[in-house]
Amino acid sequence: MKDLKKYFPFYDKQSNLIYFDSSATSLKIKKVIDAEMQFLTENGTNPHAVDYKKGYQALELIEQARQLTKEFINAKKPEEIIFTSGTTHSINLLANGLKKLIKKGDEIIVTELEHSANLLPWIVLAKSNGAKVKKVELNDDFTIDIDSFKAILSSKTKIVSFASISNTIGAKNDIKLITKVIKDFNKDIIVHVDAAQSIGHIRTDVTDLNIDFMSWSAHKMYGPFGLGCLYGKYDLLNQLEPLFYGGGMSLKIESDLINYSLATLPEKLEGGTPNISAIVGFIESIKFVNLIGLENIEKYELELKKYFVDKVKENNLEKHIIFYNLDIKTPIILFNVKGVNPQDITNFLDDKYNILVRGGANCARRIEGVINTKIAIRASFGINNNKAEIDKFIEALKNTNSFLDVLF
Amino acid sequence: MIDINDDILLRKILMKHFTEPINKGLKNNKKAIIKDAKSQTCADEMQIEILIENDIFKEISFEGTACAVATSSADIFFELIINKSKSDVKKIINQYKIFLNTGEASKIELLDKLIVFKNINKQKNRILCANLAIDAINEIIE
Repeated sequence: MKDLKKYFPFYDKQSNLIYFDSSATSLKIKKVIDAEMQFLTENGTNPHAVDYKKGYQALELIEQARQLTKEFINAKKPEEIIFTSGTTHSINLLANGLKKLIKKGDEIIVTELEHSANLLPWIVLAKSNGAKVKKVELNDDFTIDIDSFKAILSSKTKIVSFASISNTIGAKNDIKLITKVIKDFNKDIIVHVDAAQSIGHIRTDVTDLNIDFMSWSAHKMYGPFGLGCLYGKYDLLNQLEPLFYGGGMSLKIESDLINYSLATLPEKLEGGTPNISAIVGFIESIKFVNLIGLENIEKYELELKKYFVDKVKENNLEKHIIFYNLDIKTPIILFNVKGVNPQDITNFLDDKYNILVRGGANCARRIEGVINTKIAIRASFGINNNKAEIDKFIEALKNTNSFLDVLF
Repeated sequence: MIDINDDILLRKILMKHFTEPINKGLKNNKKAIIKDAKSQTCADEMQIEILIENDIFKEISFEGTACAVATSSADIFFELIINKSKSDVKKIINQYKIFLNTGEASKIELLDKLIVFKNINKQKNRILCANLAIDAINEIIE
């Protein structure tokens, strides 16, 4: 694959920076930025204001984005796509929306690798309804252990929610197999996939996978901040109680101020003025991913990971660095330098090598239940990276004993 | 007085207090107060045990995991304020805060080994680390 750096204006004035934090957010492509700017400059009207042409154009852009998204994940109809502010909003919308379905003693199954957005909403739901959140066992490669998963399913299981690719460790779950196991056991168990880490990296065909719901953010697929999606099978989605009530989703409010009627999907779940400029930007991010091709993206990122792993072995870095997930086939590296706190290393990499990585708990508060540490450094590669940058990274990792150089 | 320009010495001091902190390990004194110092922005967290008698800091110890800057600043600071009165500690903290933000202070001699953090002002994100335990003590004083 050709060097894709030219698509990312981030490098225009700071080509020396090495961005290895695509898991937190991917860099933004020029077309996305331009599209948002163009909409704000040339239109900028409210898509609810359909009485005039500009407002109607804004509405049409939303429909275009919905249609493209539907095709992108192979949903059955555009109404199955709900625009939200991001993954967190999507999962909260879902968990809150399912409130009336969850009763005392019911069970929600998750894994310990979920980031906070795919744990807290379920914990809050379970607490408020007297249900239980249960965690499934993981294999040595941190994927869901199918056998213990089968054993944990019961007549009380109502929801299973898991990440397609985990946020910190990068383990890639077999969504199709897991969903089959669940649906074979009881087709009414709701399956939700948190696709935040995978949506811009691997193809996700919701119809083929037969999942009920899926959440993700646009900003992790080279797109705008403040936008995400909740996909749901139409009938299930239609059962969700809205999280927000307001303009755009109410059809009628009676004079008794008690009775009201709501719009149908998708508007029913999209109260308030949408982030229309981000939606316009998102059109470009989907087009970009389609242009490059998810298969090519996945292949290139795995090539970078393999190159990194080979260099780690070649330079014997495992002598002073603990790597937690070298064998995992996703472009995420989780590691700790022995005897040094992650923040000292992230600061060192930034200050001395212009390498941007994350340290700490990486929004996955239960990671300590899976690997023997609460905190670690995460480097995540993307299509904006190349092998020369990995060479510099290796060089930096060889020199971590100089981490205090940042202070003197 | 330590030479603020002797980087090799400063580095050694910092490293020593990071790798072999003298005040690490809680004493579990029933008369002491326990204060949690937890960073809002990173994973650093400490529990600090403080015994104050007649307005004097008599014992301070800590436990927890934190970066080199947070750990060594806590350890150096605790060593410095032991047997000092709240008002004296307040003066040190005031000078330290100015020093962290600018690299200078009018009464720099009050800071003793804390001058190892002379370059923190160039790394704004690390000021939080260098302040973690100190802010906890400051809250007690105030």
